[in-house]
Amino acid sequence: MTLDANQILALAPDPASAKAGSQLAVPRNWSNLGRKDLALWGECQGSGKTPYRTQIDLGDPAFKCSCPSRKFPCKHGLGLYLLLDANPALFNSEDVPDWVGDWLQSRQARQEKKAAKPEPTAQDLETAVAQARKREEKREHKVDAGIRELQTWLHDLAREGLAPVRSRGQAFWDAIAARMVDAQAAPLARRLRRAGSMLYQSGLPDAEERVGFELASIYLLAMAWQGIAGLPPALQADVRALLGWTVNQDEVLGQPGVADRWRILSQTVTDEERLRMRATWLRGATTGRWALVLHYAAGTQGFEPMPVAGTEFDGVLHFYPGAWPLRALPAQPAEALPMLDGPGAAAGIDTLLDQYADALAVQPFLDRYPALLADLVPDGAERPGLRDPHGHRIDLHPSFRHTLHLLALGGGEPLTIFGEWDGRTLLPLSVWHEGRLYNIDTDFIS
Amino acid sequence: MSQDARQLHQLLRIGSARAGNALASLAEPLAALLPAGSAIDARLWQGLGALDLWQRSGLLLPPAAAPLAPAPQEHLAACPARAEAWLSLLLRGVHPSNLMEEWLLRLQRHGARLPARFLPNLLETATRQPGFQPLVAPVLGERGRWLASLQPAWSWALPQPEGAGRTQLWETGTPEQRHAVLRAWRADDPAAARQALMDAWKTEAPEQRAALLGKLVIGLNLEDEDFLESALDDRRKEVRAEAQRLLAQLPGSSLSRRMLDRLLPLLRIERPLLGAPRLVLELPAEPDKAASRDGIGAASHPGLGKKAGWVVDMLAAVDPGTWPEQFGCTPRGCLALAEKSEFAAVFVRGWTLATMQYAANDPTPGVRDWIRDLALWWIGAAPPLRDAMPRFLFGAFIAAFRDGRDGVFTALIDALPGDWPTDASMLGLLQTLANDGSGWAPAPSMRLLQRLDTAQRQFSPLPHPWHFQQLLPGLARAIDPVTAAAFIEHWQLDSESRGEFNTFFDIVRIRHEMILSFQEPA
Repeated sequence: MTLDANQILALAPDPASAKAGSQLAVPRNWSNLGRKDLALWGECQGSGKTPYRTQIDLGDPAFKCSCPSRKFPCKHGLGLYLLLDANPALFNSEDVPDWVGDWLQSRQARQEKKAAKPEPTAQDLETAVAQARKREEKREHKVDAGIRELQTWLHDLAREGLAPVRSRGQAFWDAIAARMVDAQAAPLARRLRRAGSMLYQSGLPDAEERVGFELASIYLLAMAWQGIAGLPPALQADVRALLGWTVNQDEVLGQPGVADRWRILSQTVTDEERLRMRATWLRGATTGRWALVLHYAAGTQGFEPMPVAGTEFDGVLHFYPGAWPLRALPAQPAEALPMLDGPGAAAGIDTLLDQYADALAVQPFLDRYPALLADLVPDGAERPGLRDPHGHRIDLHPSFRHTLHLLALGGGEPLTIFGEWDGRTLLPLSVWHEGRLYNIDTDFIS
Repeated sequence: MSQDARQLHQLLRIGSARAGNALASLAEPLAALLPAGSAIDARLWQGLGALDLWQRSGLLLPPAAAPLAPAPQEHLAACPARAEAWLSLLLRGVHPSNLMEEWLLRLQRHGARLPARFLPNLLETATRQPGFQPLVAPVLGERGRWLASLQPAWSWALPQPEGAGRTQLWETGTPEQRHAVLRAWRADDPAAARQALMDAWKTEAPEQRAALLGKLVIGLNLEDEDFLESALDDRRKEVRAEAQRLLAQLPGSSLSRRMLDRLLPLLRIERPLLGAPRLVLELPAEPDKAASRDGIGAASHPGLGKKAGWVVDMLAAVDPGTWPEQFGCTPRGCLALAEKSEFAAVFVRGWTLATMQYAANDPTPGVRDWIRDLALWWIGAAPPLRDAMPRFLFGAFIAAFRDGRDGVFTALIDALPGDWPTDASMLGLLQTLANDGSGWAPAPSMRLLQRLDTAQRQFSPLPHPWHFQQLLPGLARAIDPVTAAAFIEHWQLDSESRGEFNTFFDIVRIRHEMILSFQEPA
């Protein structure tokens, strides 16, 4: 299937590219347009003498263009794809020009080469393992020291109290966060900085309680690190991931995969300091398993190709090790199909609370938990919340900004909402309504 | 447990150093889980962490508030899917601005309603830019009005109450609500609305009076005259000015008659043996009390003398249809008489102002003749005289003739001189015609395209390219997109002018595609 205009624009690395791309999506700019199977091509007259040769592999989708732009995909790629969406009849040639054929072939060759990597020799392996072991030990020492320092800091904070610390401003939190960066525990740094800014900037009435719980959770994580040897192996992997250890993708792909028809329930892009993160939630149609695929992109770089929310694909996911595995990697790009049968069975809030308690029991550091809830009616605008069929009130996450959009979509009638549950509030990420999935990050405009 | 949570948070807030070793043990079963013998600061964090997990794994949901009544069934059709995709692009600012108004108009003409997911965006836009409200309100649908009733700032979108509800809102509403009530009331029962305003007049805050009085322009009729005449004696200048303005545009008002009585003795037509006849004006004496009360001397007229300005004030308050009768000629003939006069600028300005006043409410054929003749006269007039005519007359021209039915608009485009691309005031005229309204009819659009084509052949490169760069996008937004899209398909452009025309083509094509997006079945 091909994407619609909105989904195409979602591939843009930044709003400027989206704008430039859609301005290029008029027939006048293009010549030699053509399409065969999954290949799409065209020549775009730029400011130079020779036109840019732009081509798209619609399967992934993957882009290539002869323009010098470092953005990916570039405006020509987006424009070409948008033109296909607006005017499919223009792509009437089926004669693949050489430059398109070359590219498709080289892509295929590269994929084959990737599949057939030479086996390393035993000696190579041994040296590599020894080096890795050494690096690992060094890092563990650093984290050890960092965690001890953090514990002392937290003890001091408990002695002094949050109220007196308030006057010291964000710098107080940034200082300990910087120490955690030095200790190679970047996720802790991020959480500490965020805790500080919640105290000063959120304006929430219960900000101090939230910060208290967050710091306590960090404290428990520190304790878990110190006693990591006594934890079950799966939970050890979680603790290490939460402290910043990454797992090699090949290692993940080496784990047995879960084959299913994966439905994509939401896709959200957030800025994490210098990086952008795209979080995609999926659910297996037959296994009912949940999966979270994270992609990162720096600067103007585009994300790795991935089908968009509201579609599904047949494929295999490999899960990262953990006590309650959610994070996963897709084995290979797959062709997206429209999500015809909806997002799957939705639970009631009681079932969700039970499942969440079970999950916390084996992985107490779980921060986001997927929840697909049916029959929720948004409350009026003055105190945003959701009403379940039994008359219970579900609070919305304070960062949720689209209460009015939810109200408008439902019109006082029940909605099926997918979101992340943190034990107290729900952060809606998508809505299934009248046979269509609305991905809140892209389909609602704030 | 919640007791424990409160205690721990309190302790964390003030700090254990101040609170002393005052941490009571937690309730079972949590107490047994915590390691024994740790220091108070460690126990505080462990206790909080355990409580957090305890609460999150066994949340008790509070009861919800009473449910809202759901939105009523829709009567309008759903928005076509491709048009919805267009709206999404417009809201994201992907396309050049100013297309939103057209999109909303098209949706209204299509008999469809806004997609529910974008209602908050458009309600918010129209709240911040009230100019959008008349475009957004008709396409809100039941869902939109239901949503607007939940957000006080969006109350403008709610239907105006009638009967007792209206009277109550008029008596107790906010100033904005009362203005809206008076407007709606005036539209369907002018006499009752006037009576309501007269009843409240004494107690009305002075700063509100002028604005409320201004609403009488809706359905203005001779029955309003007595009340307006009494407002001429109000203590506030703004109120007096508003009353003068309304009486001046009320056909057959005694204020108009008084002005005419003052004017006629000052005017005569001189017919010399040689040369064309001309209007002769004798400047008036200092306005007396009655004349000031009628508004003579109230406005300022830059470039004209004081006494000449008084004459403009008089002319502006008289139905322009009077003069062709008086002089036995068309408006164009009146302008010819005036051109020969020493005070030509006075007549041009006065007649234009009067025409504008009378064009505000559904112009009569006589007023339309004036609009047409003034616009056509302006193109051929000597440059210094052109300045006497306020340019906003062309706004009234567009409003009166954009439908292209009687060929007047096409005639105006035809009347542009052959060297118009080199003439800054002609370029300015086109700019005004483009800015003052989109939706040109096909015939004048076609004529404009032909003239553009001739111009780009004749002048290569175009003179004033920067001026064209500004003008062309505006024209592209104003002309009929279907005519334009068909025309540019076969347009051979001189390569020197291509740069200036690129944006023009883009906008034409974008508008054309946008319009096509409505033609698919919903």
